[in-house]
Amino acid sequence: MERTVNNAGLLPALNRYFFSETTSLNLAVIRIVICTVVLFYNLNVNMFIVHDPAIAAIQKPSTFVQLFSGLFSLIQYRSRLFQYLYFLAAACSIFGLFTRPALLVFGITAAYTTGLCAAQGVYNHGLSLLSQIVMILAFVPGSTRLSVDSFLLWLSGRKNRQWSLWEALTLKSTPYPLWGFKLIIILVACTYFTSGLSKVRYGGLKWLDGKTLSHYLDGSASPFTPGIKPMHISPPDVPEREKWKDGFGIYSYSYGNRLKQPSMIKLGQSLAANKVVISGLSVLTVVFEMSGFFLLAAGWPRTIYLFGAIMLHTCIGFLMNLPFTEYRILCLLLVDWKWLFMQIKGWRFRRRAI
Amino acid sequence: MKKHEKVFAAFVMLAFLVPNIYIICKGKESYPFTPAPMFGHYVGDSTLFYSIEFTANGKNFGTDHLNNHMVKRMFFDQVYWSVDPESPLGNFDNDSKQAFENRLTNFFSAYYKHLTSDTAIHRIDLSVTQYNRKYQPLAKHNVGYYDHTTGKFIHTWKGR
Repeated sequence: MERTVNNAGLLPALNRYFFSETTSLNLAVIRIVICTVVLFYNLNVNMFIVHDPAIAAIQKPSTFVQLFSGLFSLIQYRSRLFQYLYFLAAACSIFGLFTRPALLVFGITAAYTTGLCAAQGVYNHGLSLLSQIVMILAFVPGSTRLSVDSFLLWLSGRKNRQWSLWEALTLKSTPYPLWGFKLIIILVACTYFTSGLSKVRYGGLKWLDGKTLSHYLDGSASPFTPGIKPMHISPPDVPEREKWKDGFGIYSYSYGNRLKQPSMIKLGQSLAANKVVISGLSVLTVVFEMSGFFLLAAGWPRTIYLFGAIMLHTCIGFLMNLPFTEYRILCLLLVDWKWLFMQIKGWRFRRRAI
Repeated sequence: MKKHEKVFAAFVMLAFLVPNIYIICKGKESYPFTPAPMFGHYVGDSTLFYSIEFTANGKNFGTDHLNNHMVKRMFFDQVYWSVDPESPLGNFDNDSKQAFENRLTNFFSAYYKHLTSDTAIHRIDLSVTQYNRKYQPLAKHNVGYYDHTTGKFIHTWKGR
């Protein structure tokens, strides 16, 4: 059950929002599932090590990767040792042995290795958020429940002997403050918000006319259809002062749609052909993403948004082969299932959503 | 909760939120922080498309190297740079012909070593082809060339 601090005013409201207490196991479940997902999607941890010094010389790693490049230089010279460290940290994080240090090492090594991939030109947006969540779990209360650490403490008799094993693993009689869960929610909200914002920030309000989305759905961006597919773009009215490099003035690179399933390609093409539908989908996508801060409100707003996000990723997965499974799993984990079941059953249940 | 626990909580929250919010405001990715700029560009009926090509002794390296979209993205984001001041990709106020030549010199001197052991190749040309929305070629410009004997990239397109 959640305990709340009852006072009026902004500070007490913030206090209540971040430091209300709960006995929920959701952070422990998030630890187990998210660490497993990160491990699954980043299993080939040495894949982005560059052994060609010439190529290594032209990479520009991010500040985060540079910060840890000294510490993890063994990935270059002792890659097997780095692999052992990575898999050991992953296993300890999932099962909860030396949980906090393991989470910290796993989070940093996961972000570091996927950061090497970003330095080579492909930014893994799924794992960039998830590896941050792993690092967050190393610091927040509530993430070490359901762990081998709890079991060992119970076994050694350092926890109340009268507790059953389940009580010792879940610590159901010991509430913890919610701020860790709220921090994850805020990061996810920021991610969705900025994703919607970027479309109009860099593409302008004309992004809403649906033509950009049409480009990706009508086969123009498919690498599997015949013909050359140049990927760099510019508007037709580049100012003269911006043409000094090549006489054209290139603004950006575009992406591809690597969908192969014929029925989905056909569906995408029919959506792209209907101006009203494609424009409506563009507006809906941007409005939905920019409404990410609905996630901050517990209860129905967050629940509806999370299911909406799962639907959005599923549709994009079908139409553009970008399923963002990592995000869909995260959204499922952020749903307060206990609260939702009570609402659906219509029980007069006093527990508030977290 | 005790006061020091709240201070610790505030510290951890700020440690994660500040870099994320900073990168969102700045608008340029720095892994693992991102303003999520995917598909953040406009493609309309009159949008122009480009391919950037490397050729040496008539041999086009595009097929085996530049068709690799990782190399294409890395090259554009980290070496060639966008000319759009608002771009989330590489673009900086202080760019100039000299800085452009220096970046391409650094890139090609490393890339040349990776690319070939063929000592007969002394020069790699960099060109850009422009296409319309239907991918029909409109024009091709030679941007410059990397001279292996001097180890320098020469920007031949007349600019500032």
